[in-house]
Amino acid sequence: MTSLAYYPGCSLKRFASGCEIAGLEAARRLGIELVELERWNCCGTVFSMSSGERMHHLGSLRNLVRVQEAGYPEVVTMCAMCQNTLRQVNNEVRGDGDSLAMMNRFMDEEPAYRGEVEVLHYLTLLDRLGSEAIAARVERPLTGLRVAPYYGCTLVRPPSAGIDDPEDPNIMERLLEALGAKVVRDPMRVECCGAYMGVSKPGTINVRASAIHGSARNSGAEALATMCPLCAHNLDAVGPAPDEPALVVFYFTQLVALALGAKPEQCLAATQRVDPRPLLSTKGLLEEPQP
Amino acid sequence: MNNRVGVFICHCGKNIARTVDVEALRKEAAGLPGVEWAEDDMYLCSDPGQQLIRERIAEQNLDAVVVAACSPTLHTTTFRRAVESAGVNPFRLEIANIREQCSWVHPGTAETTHKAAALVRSGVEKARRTQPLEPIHVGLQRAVVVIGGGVAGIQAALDIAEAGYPVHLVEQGPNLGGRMAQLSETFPTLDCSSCILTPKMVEVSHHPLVTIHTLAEVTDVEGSIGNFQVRIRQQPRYVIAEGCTGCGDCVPACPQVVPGEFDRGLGARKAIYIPFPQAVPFTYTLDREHCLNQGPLIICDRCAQACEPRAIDFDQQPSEELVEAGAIVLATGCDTLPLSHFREYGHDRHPDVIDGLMFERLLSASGPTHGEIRRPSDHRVPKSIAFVQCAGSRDPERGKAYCSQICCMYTAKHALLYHHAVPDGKVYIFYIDIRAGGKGYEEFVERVRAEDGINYIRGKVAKLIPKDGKLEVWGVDTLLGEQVKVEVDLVVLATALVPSQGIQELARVARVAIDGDGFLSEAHPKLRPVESQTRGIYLAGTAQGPRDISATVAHAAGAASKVLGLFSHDELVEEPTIARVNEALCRGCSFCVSVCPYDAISLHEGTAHVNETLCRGCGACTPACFAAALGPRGFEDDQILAQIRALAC
Repeated sequence: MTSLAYYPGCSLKRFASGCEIAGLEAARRLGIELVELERWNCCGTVFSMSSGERMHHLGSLRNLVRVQEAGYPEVVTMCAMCQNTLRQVNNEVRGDGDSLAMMNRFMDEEPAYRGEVEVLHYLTLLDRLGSEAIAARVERPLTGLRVAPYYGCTLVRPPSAGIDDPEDPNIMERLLEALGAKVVRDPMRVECCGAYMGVSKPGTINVRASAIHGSARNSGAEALATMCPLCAHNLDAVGPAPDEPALVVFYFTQLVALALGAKPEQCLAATQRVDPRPLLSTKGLLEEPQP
Repeated sequence: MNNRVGVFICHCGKNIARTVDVEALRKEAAGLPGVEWAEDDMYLCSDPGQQLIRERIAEQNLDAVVVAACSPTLHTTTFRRAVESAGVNPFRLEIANIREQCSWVHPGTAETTHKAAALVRSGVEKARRTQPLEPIHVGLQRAVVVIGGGVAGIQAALDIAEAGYPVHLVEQGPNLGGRMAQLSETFPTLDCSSCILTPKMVEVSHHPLVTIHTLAEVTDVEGSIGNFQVRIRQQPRYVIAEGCTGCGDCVPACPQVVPGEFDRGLGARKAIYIPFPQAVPFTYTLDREHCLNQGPLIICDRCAQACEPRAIDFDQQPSEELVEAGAIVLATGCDTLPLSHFREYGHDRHPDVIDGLMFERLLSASGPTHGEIRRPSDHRVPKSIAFVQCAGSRDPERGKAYCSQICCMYTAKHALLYHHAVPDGKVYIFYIDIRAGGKGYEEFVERVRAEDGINYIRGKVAKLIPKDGKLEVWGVDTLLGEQVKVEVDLVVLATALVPSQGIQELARVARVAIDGDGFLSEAHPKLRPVESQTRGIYLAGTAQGPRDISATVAHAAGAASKVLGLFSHDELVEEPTIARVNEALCRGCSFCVSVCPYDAISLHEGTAHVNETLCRGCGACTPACFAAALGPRGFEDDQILAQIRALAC
């Protein structure tokens, strides 16, 4: 079993726990042990990147120091936003020795960060295993389930912190095919969900969610798959306007775990507003996998 | 050492005299050893100033001259001519740069005059030791190789051949014509492109002094200006050119259908084909890559059976030819950024996203739709089109930083031609700026905008969303500050021009420089735009940078005139200040061969040998030689050391 450092981030310990529970189970089934870092703290979220103020970036840097201390060359994240923030800060200090020296001086209670840790997203980890290796482990193929991957912003933008092409990503599509699902290419898959606009202009989120759900539905999708807790919150918990139909919104990890044979109650933690069970039941995906 | 030296100090108006005490400098110069005469003048480069130098040379019987003035890059030739006309060898002139290296960069203090004096002293020490040098005369091969058979190559070839010199016109493809042959009408006059190009193609193909090599590449260039040896590799056509009558009976016989490159994949051709009806030479080509006969075994000979003159030869082999030429013209043209570059526009998923050159083929009477504008997906006539300008141009982060020069104009032309063909069609042109800087260009765009009522939207297109068989264009109108969403049937991208494929390999073979974008570099951006940085190799057309047809023709004619200027001499006269080998000292270690940036040195029977036309006299070999056996003439060790000593005291 391979061991890798794992940084969960705050959301996955709270309202997005469904993402983590399924993700850890799926990793275990793929022979990967994700070892949660000790004393990790909030990454600062991408919001902290909106200013050039280095002090706002210390949260991420401390987490990279934790990885370095634990002796891992890489750290895996599931949350799209955490991976984005950690990666941007990592890129920033790697490209600017003065900035790194200054921030290390400021964190004088911490060992100096050497800039050697790689930030790895969970999807990239799966992609590195390869579609064939994953397909070989599938026990409950998602046959007939029409899923539209939804990337949002932080998985792919800015390009320096993205895990795939910012305009035309393919990583979730590749993996979904390996899991046996029917991939739906939705043209809105890299559009913004509304992000934090829900705080200042709550109606915005309904408008965005309507557009994204509508586009995916028109493209033939029955469900959306995302890796971002904020996107999931906006598309599912807030969702389209009440009189409009809403698709099931999965965390991508939930689909992986389900396909790899995990028990439905392990993969489908009660964090979804739109209950996925009726959809999965019609596809026969809640049954025990056939040996 | 016994030269009688005259020193002439220039005031350069106030440029030198403001900070240098010219009178003190003159006095000091007059007292230097070897100096017979020292004088100053307000403007030495003026006619009276030069006359002064000439008179003093005669009066004082001077045999070397120091001019203390501006940088030698400015007036070396002026003063060399002046001293030569008074009977002094021009290589006995020294220039002490007391302007750029002294008066301009220092305040008016005694130290500045002191520095000027040191520079003059150094010049005098050199002048005392100079030897007369005579120019080198080299023979000249009056023939040219033009690489690239588009309009630039054709123009250059015709101009040179018309003047009476033989030309080898080398084209990689099966026929001449290049990009211009693919176009429908040309802006701003709407001349039919092939109607104005075809006569030139015919003329060049019939010219007795032009040898056309199609399906041919230049694989090696040896030698230097005046005497190049160019190796031309001829790929087999599998059709005997002399036998083919162009009847076309082979085409229906061929079972293999492939997308036609000439139509940018919008139409089909057979494996044996001719790309367009006006092709020159009008000889069919068998594309063996798509032919059923992949190996030596012939399993399909239907074309050969159909060919009455028996012109098909499956056994043709590549051949090579070595051509002697005094000059080379590079006219290798351009390509466009591929549609696959634009992942936000998703050409691979939406066949109705095409580039401007594809739209030209849709407009062309000999194109895949016979000139009717029909979109690729369902062959319907589009009722609305969005044109996206600057697709990849002026986009340093995701494309090319430069402006591709022609897109504003051809997009306006496309809009106009579409509007005339489909009067009720809607057109949206997304643009950043309109750049219409040519004769009649602005008027043309204005006409399109006003008379044809084309909707110009200033802003970029973010992405294309397929919707019910149409494409929804998401863009921005930066003048209104609004997001724009329009549904259209067809999207045409004005993709950036890029250098043609294979240019890097050719540049390496011909030893010419290329710029950061991959275009061929000119010798000087303003003053030598048709010369490459390698002497004897000239540039024509878009191989050097994006330009339209008229500018390409002018550029090609410029390259031809440079070649003719070179050929107007019986022999080449080269500067004598090039490296010379003392064969008695040379040990044949070949270290100089490896440091020479011009590949001018080679070993012959254990001794270094300098090619006089390749050597530029840079001096890189001098410190490389352990035996002090070679270095440039006119920069002898004793001269340089004396100069350094004079500066140091």
